[in-house]
This record gives sequence, structure tokens and C-alpha cells, in this order.
Amino acid sequence: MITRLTVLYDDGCRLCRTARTWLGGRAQIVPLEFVAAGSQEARRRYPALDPDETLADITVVADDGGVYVGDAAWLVYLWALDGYRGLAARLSQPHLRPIARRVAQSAGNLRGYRQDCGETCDT
Amino acid sequence: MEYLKLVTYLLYLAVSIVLTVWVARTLLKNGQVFLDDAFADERLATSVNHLLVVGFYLLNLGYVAVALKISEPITDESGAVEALAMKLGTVLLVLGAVHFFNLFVLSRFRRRRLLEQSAPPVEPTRTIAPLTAPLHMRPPLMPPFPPPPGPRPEPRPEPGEMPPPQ
Repeated sequence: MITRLTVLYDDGCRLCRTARTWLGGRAQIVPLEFVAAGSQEARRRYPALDPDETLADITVVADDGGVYVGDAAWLVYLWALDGYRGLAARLSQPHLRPIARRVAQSAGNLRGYRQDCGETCDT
Repeated sequence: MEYLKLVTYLLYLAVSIVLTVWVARTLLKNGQVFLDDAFADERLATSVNHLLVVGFYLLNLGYVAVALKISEPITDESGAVEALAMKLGTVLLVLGAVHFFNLFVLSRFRRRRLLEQSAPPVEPTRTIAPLTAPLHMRPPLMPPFPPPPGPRPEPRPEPGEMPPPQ
């Protein structure tokens, strides 16, 4: 049973910060906590996770030990928000999952646009 | 032939009321299981069930009363049956529409409740050791270098423990 989710987001990219602020303001069924990927806090919490990998792709860690990366992270993120659980379930169906994956990849590619973190998030 | 209209009215009222009562009792009896599942709370479900039945009675009997008037003159018996069938058919269709709308709303409740209890729709990419202790009780991150060489401090004897013999 998942009671809390930690979202490791890229604090160095403006788009990720905007998304974090907007999505963090939605009503949540499962409480979400945002921690900058690669930060000291993230390393302290999750020593088993590679900071470079968490910077490369959005990572959501559940308190039961489940690690969700990429499109799975987005889907579990939607699942945690109030009013988006049905959408998450729909997008997880086999015939829609490739679309979810493509959208997640596109969001990841957009992330590189107007980066303001120098070399650190060039992955 | 004025009595034909009166007979039609009376028949219409009698059949409509009997139908309304029958449907309401069926809803009350069989809707309970559905509502129990939709609300996951038997007391709430029973209360909602009764309120819905009251609403159903008000809506349906109200419609039956409003739709009572037959404007055209009734000249013979077959005309009376036609008018009666038309009135009753409309009542039944309205009843059915209300019933399905009701089911639709309640099934949305049920779906929402089931979704709230559902597990994540995707499998985790991988798993790590779950967080067992609250964060403030967890040990801080160890520095990535070995401790400095030198004599290690002697462990202090526990209070009440006898000192080792000299």
C-alpha cells in the first residue's frame, strides 16, 4: 500500500520547475513530496539510486520501495492526483501505453530547451 | 361520452400509482446491494437508498399529476384505450430515463471509489528497500572517505557494569 510518493525532478530546468509548481498545486489522493534530483537530500534518502539516472529522467519513488521512471513515473504521478486516476488507468492500457511513452519522451526532449543549468543536466 | 374521459383518468391514475409503488419497492430492495458497493458504508447506503426512493416518488407522482389532462375529446372506447396507453407509455419512458440516469450517477460514485482504492496502474520500473524509519530518524549520509587513522576511542562502560579487573 503506497501512502506517499517522492518525485525526483530536475531543479536545473525551468520547464521541470514550472511543471512541479503547477502539478504540486493539484489536489492529491496520495501525498507527493518534491525533491531535487541529485541533491544532497535525494542522495541521503535514496542512496541506492544513481543521481545521474534520476537527473536524466523523471523518477518517482514510492514509500513501499517501488521506483517509477519515465512514462511509468508520469502515470504513477497522475494516479496520485485527484481527478486524474481514471486518465492514468486509461493511459496504462496496452493500446494507449505507447502514446503515453511518446508524450513522456517528448516532454523529456522539451526539457533541453532553454536549460539554465550549464552542463549538469545535459543528459 | 364524458364518463369515458373520467374512467380513463381514474384508470390512468390507478395504474400509474401501482406501477410507481412497484418500481419504488423494487428499487429499494435491489438497489441496496448496489449502493452498499458504491458507498462502502452500509448506513450511508441505506440512507441514500431511502432518500432516492422518496425523490423517485415525488418526481414520478408529480409527473403523473402534471400529465393527467387529456386535451382531445374521447368519443369511443378505443379512443379511450389509445389515450390511456399514450399517457402510461410516456410515464413509463420518463420513469425508465430517470432510473438509468440514477444508475449512471451512482455507477460514477462507485467507479470513483474503486479508483481511489486502486493500486498504481503500472508496475514499478524497479524496487529498492522501502523506507522503514521516518527520515529524521535515519542515519545521515556517510562521507565517501574512510575515517581518519588513529587510536579508536575506548568504549565507555555501561553504567552499572563492573570495570575490568586490573
